[in-house]
Amino acid sequence: MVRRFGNVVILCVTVAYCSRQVAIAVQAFAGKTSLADLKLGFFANITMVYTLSLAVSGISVVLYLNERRLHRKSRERLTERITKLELTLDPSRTSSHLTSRGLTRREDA
Amino acid sequence: MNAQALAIVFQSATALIAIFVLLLWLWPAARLDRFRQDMFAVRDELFDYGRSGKIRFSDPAYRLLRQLMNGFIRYAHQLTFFRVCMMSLMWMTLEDKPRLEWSENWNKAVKDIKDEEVRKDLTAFHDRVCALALQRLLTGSPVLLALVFLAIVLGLCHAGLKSLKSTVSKAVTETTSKVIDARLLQEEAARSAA
Repeated sequence: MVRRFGNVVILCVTVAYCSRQVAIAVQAFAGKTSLADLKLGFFANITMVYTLSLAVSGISVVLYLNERRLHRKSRERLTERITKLELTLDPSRTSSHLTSRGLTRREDA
Repeated sequence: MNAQALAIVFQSATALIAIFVLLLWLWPAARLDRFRQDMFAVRDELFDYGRSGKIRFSDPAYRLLRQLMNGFIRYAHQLTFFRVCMMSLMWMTLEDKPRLEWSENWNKAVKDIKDEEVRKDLTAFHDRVCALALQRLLTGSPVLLALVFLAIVLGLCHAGLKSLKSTVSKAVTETTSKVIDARLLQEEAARSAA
């Protein structure tokens, strides 16, 4: 269980922790600063380097995920044909039992 | 707390989330794809080798090797250092130790091959499969990576920087073989593919 869901648990805890810290920071302004002042000050302090880094990282991740999706589609398109051809040469050919997209089957996860 | 501090908190929080998404989701998925891709490439090469007529598809050595690769591909997501340690502990604590069936069958099958060149080629395929599995374990575990790094440093101190390549290779093989029994890995992979 720990091995299987460990990553998800750590990610959820991190998101929750970060949200809590942001909430604490926002609460500190309650009753002291107007929302308009806060917005202006906040956006003025978000640095250009940070925005640029986040944008480049975001674009890279989206490109990677898109490329991965295309790769999986290619696998799905080619696998059946390759399997058929190999079976004509080796009728007792054994399989790795991945899905046609090259992913772990649900029952093996 | 002012707006500047709030901006820092926001930036740190989003950066931390992004790092965790990268480390816990994207990076492991990319490593898994890479490992399977490499293993499929070796399996395809083995198939082509069989098709060339040097070995029959029904030969036990060919079948065992393919079974091993299928096992590694199928359960690659479970091939982690933590899991291998747990598996080794389990095997060590068992009173009735199960036979290392795959290793025994493999050694026998390789011995039975008459052609020396084919035997060498199949052993090379087997070595490549083991190297890929070890590489996956090594690059996925900071603990194992640290141990290997330590072994490399000690090896270099001992060898006096005479042969960097052989020292690194020796450190990797010796450290991993001390921590991981490759026969156990093969047994588990072969059983899962059977």
